[in-house]
Amino acid sequence: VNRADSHPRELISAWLDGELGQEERTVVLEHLAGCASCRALVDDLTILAKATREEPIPPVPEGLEERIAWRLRSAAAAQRRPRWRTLVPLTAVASLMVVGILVVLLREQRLAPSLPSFAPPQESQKAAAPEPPASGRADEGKPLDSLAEKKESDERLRSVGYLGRSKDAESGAVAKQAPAAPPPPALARDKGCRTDPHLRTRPRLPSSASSSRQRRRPQ
Amino acid sequence: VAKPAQADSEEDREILRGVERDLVERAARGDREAFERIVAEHLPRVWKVVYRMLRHREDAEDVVQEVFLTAFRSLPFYRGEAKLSTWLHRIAVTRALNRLDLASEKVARASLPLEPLDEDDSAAPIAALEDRGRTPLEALEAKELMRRLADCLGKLPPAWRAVLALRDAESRSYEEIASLLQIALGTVRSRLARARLSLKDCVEGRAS
Repeated sequence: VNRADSHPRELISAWLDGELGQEERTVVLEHLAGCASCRALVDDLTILAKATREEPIPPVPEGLEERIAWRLRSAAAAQRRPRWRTLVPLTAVASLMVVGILVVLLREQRLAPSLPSFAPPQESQKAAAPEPPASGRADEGKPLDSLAEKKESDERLRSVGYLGRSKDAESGAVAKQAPAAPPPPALARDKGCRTDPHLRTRPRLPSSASSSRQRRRPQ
Repeated sequence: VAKPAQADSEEDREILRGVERDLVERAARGDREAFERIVAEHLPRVWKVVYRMLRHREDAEDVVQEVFLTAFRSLPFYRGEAKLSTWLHRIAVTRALNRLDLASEKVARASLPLEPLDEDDSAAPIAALEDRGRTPLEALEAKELMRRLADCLGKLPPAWRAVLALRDAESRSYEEIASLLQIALGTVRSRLARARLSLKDCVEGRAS
């Protein structure tokens, strides 16, 4: 009840709803007995409550029940769908990622033994070399497994002036000496890379691997 | 779908409660047909309470659909502590209030002619009616009263409209309203009183 209000309107409202205890009911009845405006309020609130109760409400829209049923079916289908429609693409993506990582790791592993022989920056420009000659080599058919062998191989290449040649000259040499050997994928890719000096040193690495593969093939 | 029969005795009521329990259990296991029976039985009452609160047909349709979708998803968590109708009403009232909150953010509230009464506001809207033979409401013709009532109900703050809809239209007890709206019993009582007095002022043409 509002203390500043001499009319217990909140109590009257609750009294109309039959929600008062005995004590509060007595307070309301005593007040109503001596207050005409509150008796008028009771009449008005009764009219309004009745009107609110009887206010015409539009009937349930036609087709609403069917629309709810349709949405339930859609929701049920959506609940079922994730079990396989979501898992399959997720599994595929995860598998692709795993395969991709494995491929990268395997490549790194294959290239790893050659990493210490990366040419210094001044040599890196020379190192963008294509395949060495495929034939007429003393070590033909021997895999370049050890670092010593790799260094020896490099020395031999330098002695014949191979590593010191310009790019254009090298290309010509390749065209003359090994026309049938296609450049390895790594080499083809590195030609387009102008910013990373390390990448320029790489062509030598797959070329040795590639040539070793070529050499092994006849055996 | 068959309408529920009238419960003439406690035994009948127990049978109906058993039927409802069975429906709920089946629906909770994903039986859509069982849930569609629940929808058919409770749709009219849910529609009424939602419409009374929103007073907008399209919004009410949207909310009623959301109510039953929410109920379908939440049914496995329904423990049966409250009656199914009360549980559905709670979802309906919550959803309708959420919709009203969203709407009230969009609509300029300045357009509302009714302002909530302050706690210490002692202005007595009934004072002007004292010593009159008939109150203005009594003098209004029924048709005009209903027109004004509909207009004024739409202007009431959502929280007040909710208690009015639940009490005067749905005949819910204060305790049920408090439970449905998650508010204290005293708040239900004061909100109802304020809502009624504001509605009366509005219908009498004093607040608009």
